[in-house]
Amino acid sequence: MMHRHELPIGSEQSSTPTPSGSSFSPKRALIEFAFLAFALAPLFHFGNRAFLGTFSTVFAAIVLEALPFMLIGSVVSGLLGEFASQGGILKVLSKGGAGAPFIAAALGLLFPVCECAIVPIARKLMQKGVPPAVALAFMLGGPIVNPIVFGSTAVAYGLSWDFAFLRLVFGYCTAVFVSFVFALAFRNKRALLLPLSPFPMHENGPQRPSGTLASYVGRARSALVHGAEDFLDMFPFLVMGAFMTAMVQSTLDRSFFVSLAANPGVAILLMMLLAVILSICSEADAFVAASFQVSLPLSAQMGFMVLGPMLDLKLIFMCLGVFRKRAILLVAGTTLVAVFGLMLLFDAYVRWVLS
Amino acid sequence: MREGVYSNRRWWAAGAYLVWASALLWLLLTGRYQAFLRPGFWALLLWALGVLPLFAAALFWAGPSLPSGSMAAVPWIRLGVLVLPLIYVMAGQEQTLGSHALKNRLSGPAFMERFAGGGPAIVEGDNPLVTLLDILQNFKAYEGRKITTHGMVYRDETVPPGHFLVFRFLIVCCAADALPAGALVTHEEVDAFEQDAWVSVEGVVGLKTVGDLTFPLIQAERITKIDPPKDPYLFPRLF
Repeated sequence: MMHRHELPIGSEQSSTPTPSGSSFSPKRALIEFAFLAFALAPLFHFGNRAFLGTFSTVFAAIVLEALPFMLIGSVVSGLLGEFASQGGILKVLSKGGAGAPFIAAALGLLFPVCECAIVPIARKLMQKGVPPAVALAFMLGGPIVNPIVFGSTAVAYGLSWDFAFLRLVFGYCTAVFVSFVFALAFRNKRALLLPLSPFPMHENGPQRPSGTLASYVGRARSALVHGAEDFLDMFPFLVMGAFMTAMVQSTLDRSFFVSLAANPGVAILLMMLLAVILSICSEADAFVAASFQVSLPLSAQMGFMVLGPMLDLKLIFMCLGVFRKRAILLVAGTTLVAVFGLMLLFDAYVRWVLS
Repeated sequence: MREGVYSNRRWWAAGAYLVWASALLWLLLTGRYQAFLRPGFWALLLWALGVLPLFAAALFWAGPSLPSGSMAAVPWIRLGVLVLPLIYVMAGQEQTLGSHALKNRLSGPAFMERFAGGGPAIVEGDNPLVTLLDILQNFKAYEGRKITTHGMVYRDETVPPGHFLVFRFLIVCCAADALPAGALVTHEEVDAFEQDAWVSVEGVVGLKTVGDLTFPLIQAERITKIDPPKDPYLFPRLF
């Protein structure tokens, strides 16, 4: 029995489909092989045990921290695929028109998930018929516009609730803006790796004999299988992103960034760059941003906190399993420009207030 | 034959989940996960430990119609990528963040009051054992008092002669967000302690400015080398 309705989107079109609908991509296998060979090299870097200590600790820490959240995302993704009907929130997101990105970007308030959990869920939403631009608004806004991030930001900044609120507002505005640009740019082009042909949807989910305990058990098992497949498809991207992040964290001197930040514009740009390469979880990044309070303006710290959860190395790698490269480039470019513009305005406002 | 190939991949996929589940079990039982994560993370790791075998079982029992296509055509490559972090967990055993990480993360010492929402209670008494975080969060309360604290030794060209920096890392979620907390230590025998050594410092708390930065200073009366503690990091209370 083939489950055509569950076409994973983690492979290029040139791939050879397997019976599950997943596929073998020679290019991806080659990339993974090259990565594996490269990734094992630091183990033989015996001359510098201190480097290996830092690198292995940071690499393992990022993956171990993200793993439970990715599993949450995968389980939710599997349950969505098997049990979610086309009513409720899916209907709002799928058929909400221009209003849908505004709702999607704020969904994190109801479903607080971090960036590691959100990619598998957004992917499943798209498979369920939610337009990619709307799912993107959820993916970008969710890790910032959520109560846990709001609380941790306030605590990191000495219970500054207004500063935490500003972060949410900036994140929300950026997510909605990028979503609209994405929708315009990819109106007639494919943004995803495989066409997300709508699979048979019924009012109560995919058609199966229903009402019996056996049918529910079967669907639950099926949800687990799909969750497991999603996880296996996405997890290698997380590993690659975490590896690159750990490599950068183990070699980059943060005080170098501070020394370059002579004016606010440069400081904002540098902190945005730092956010991309450090790839710190959105629930903890405010504490790292706050450590720059003595040396950098508020706008640069805010730029770090707004951009990081939307665009960092591990997220970019994970997006490689969902979007085409040109779509990732557009999202990355638009997000960078939007956050930079917002932070320049914020900087001017802060200076005006202080003057 | 094709069915056999796919069935084989399913084994690899289920195997990957079971390897991770075993590793998590080991990390939880030994408490080794605290070298990477905040202690409270045990609950999330337990959740992961529950889901991973379920995923493995689901893939295993799914039958040939639902093979693990996600293991790609060369399953050992994918398996290698999936378990790579565990190889580094093993490789990094007995290692924690130290002076190498500190050098890259010294961006400014004056942020500790930001944790003040959950600052620790002030420890009373003569020569109390306090953490570096206690000193930074309640500096005024400890200034001029004799205390004992534990940390690692750091020195480079920016540390004044006759001093070293005693430091530990603060972790909010995981080692990737680790930030240093430190105090300068002065004593006639500071050169006897090598980089990254764990020490117990007993002395009077004061202040010292080096360049643009102001650090707490401990005028040490006694410094002794100690074994690395079970929990090398400090975990600030958030709320």
